[in-house]
Amino acid sequence: MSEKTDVWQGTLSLMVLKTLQAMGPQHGYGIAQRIEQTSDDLLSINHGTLYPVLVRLVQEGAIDATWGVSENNRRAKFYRITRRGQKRLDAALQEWNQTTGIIARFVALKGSSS
Amino acid sequence: MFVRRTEDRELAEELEAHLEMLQDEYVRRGIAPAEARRRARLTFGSLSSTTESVRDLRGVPVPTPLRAMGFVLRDAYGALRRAPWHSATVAGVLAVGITAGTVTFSVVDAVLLRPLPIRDGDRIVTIGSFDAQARKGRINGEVFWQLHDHSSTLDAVASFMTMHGQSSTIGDVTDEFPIAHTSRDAFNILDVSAGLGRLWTPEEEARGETDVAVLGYRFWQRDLGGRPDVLGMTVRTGDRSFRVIGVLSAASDHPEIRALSTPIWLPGVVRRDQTGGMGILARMRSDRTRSMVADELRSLTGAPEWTPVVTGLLDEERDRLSRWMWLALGASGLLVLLGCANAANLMLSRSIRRARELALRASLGASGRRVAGGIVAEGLLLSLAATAFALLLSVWGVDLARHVFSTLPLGISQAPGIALNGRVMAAAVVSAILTGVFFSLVPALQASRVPVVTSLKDGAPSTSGGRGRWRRAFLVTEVATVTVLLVVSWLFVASLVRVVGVDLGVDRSRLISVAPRMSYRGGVDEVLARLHRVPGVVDVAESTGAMISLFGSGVWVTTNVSSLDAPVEPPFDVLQYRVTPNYFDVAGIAFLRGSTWMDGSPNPVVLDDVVARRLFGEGDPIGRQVRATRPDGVHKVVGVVPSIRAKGLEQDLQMAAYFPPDQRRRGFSTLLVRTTGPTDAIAAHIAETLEPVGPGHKNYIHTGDEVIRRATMMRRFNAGLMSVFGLVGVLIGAAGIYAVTSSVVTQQTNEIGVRMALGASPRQIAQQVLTSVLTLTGAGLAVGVPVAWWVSRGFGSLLFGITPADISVYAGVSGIVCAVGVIAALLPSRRAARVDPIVSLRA
Repeated sequence: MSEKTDVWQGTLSLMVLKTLQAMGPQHGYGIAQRIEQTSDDLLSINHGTLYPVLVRLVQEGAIDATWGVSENNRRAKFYRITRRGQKRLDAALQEWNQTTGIIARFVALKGSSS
Repeated sequence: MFVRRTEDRELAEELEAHLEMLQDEYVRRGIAPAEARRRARLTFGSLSSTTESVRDLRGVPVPTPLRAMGFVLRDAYGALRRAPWHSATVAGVLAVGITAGTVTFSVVDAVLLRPLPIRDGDRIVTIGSFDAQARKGRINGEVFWQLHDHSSTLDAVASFMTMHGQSSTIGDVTDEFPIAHTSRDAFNILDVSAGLGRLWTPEEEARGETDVAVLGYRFWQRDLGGRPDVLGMTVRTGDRSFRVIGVLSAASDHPEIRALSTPIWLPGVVRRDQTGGMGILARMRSDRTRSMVADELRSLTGAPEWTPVVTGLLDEERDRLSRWMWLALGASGLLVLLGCANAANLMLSRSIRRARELALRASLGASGRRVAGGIVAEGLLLSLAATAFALLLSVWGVDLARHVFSTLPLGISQAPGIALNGRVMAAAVVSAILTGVFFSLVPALQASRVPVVTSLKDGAPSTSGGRGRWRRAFLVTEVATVTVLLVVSWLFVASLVRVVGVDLGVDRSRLISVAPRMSYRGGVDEVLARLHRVPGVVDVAESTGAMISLFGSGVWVTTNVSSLDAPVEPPFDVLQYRVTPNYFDVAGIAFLRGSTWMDGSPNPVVLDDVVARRLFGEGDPIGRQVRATRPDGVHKVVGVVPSIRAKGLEQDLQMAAYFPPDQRRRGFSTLLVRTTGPTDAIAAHIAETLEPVGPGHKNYIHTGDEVIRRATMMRRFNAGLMSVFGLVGVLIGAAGIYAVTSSVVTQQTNEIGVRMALGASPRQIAQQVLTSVLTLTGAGLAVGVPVAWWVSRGFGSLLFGITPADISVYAGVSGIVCAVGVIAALLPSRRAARVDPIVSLRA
């Protein structure tokens, strides 16, 4: 079970980066929704699993976080992709583009819709 | 702590916001708030596990590029920790190989690679004067002084001749000490000085004041007890006496350099008109080679046909040993290679089992290079661990090697220098890094190419074609390596068996020789009388002239013989034995024709059959007459005996003629003793009996068995070493075959289950596994046999009685390798046969 979560966490880091790249600064909930939408419910994630990924990405300097106010006036943490994250995303996308399967399709879908 | 708590609070707030947003969304879709809250919690998943995961992450440092290496290593370490058996096996096998390599290299380093311990030692040469073709000495006084004063290739020249077999007395010590007759320059060339007293001066030498002696350091220490009053003592040798004026310094004590360990040094003044040959010790100019020296000698002596023998101080020993040493080093290298192939294979097998984990890493964002780097890091960690372990083992192994080489009479005088020095350690560590990279490279490349999706899919076939191919290639490499090791050890063991089985021509069992010494106080007759009194001694024969060289130092006295009445060919040289008539009986040499002579019969001679045939053809030689140069005269053939292998087990038969003893040289007699019982006890008894007529006889008494043991020591040592290497190789190879086969069986459990469900019998399954192993073994043999043949041709000259082309060797080795393959695959194949189709298909 934990293995499976890990898988999606890992894949998630890429999805998160791509989402942030496409949508600009976004809070955790927004990211989760966006991922679900984009994958046409092919992916159903526990939103909670996003957070370790987000923390990791912040630690790695791929994204940064600031407290802000959400559309419906809630205090929420907003995440934004950094230049390092951008670079990492580009590199990763290039590699992922070479693979087939879900990831490639996910990236392709994302690309066409944004 | 405070920061932690802040972070926790912020996280809680963030998550709560998320939950509320989710809840809002559900409410917006028209769901009652309580239910919306429940659904939000459901969609979010476990709050606590999310918090846990985030907390865990906080403890992990951020992977800056600087730290990336550390991470890779940490991950590698973790991966190894998770598979302790796998890691231990890989490291253990490698450690065995690296230990073998390190210990062997420490010996090679000490014996072959270490530079000479004296200044410009590698430029010092000795030059032999003797021209074997022309049978004369080429360097006379004139040539010597030409070289000394005008040589273009040598910058220092000294005369240097060592005399053996001459009795000398100093104080109360009498023995046949080697004596160096040398000019003063020899001390400069060898870079030695006096530690006590002084050396003789060039002026003294020029004035002809040559009644002085210098003693070697070790001789002074060991034979004279380092007594300080040695200066002024007298060395008596032959009919001359010399006053001791100095002792070489302790710094000159290098037992491996024979020239330096000479006990007694006497001035040897070279006169210009001196005829005959003399030995030369010289130092080459720095930019000259030995062949240049030889060229100069040729032109100086006006002998263009002559090939002067120019040798370095340690050449003889190095030449004799180097091939054995490189062979051992090569064999240990093969063990390392075997360990590598084995490790690579185990890692491949494991990376197949770990395919999902690796794919996971890839999906976590690790690039192919990163995954590969991780595996190489694992390999490096393994090989470094193996090296650390191997170095520990080597500490003990090198000690053992030093002990073995120092105590066994292998004639390796540098043995005390065998050590784990920096160079040896560096070699071990470098080889560890190379092997680590080498054996993990292929698994790493393979892992970096894992298609993520297929690996992540449950139940996808986990063997990919490329890896299977590599795994087979490694297995074939292993089998081929084992084949080479086995062929080599077989060849050496067979050589040993044949050498030991060689018929010397002398019945060596129950034979004891008492080698010549001039220090018999009671003379030869007294010695003979005492020998006869020893219980168990049947008879004693005397021989002078040529000796059976196995029994002591080989003395070669030849004579030139021709047939008087039928001069069929020009006279030729044969060994000249001077023996008492009972010699043949004592030595166990049976007569082919005739018999030995009666004491007092005029000019008898016994020929060996080769000489007899060469002189007289197929006719009966008995009663025919032979002219010989030494003893000069015409001799009547009384008997014919078989040829004996006088020079040694592995030497050709030597032609020989036996004459009655030379009464003038009786002091040099070798005494051959025929005994009734076990020779060791009798030899000890003999030593005891002879003690009153000459102390220290023990070293001059040899039993036939001991002689053979000593003569075959190097061979036995080597055959033993190669056998151990071969055995270890077989074990590693078997382990490799077992590991790969069982991992293949494990991976193919599903497939096997399907086949069984379709009606394959367990027997068929087992057979199939065995067949595939045998196919690989066959492939390994197909590679290994030609390589083994090619390799063993390189040391064909070290073999005896067997050639690298001997088919039986390859047949035998193939049999062993196949048997090992089958045995190693037996267990996995039985496991394959026991696969339960239902269980395996459900899994």
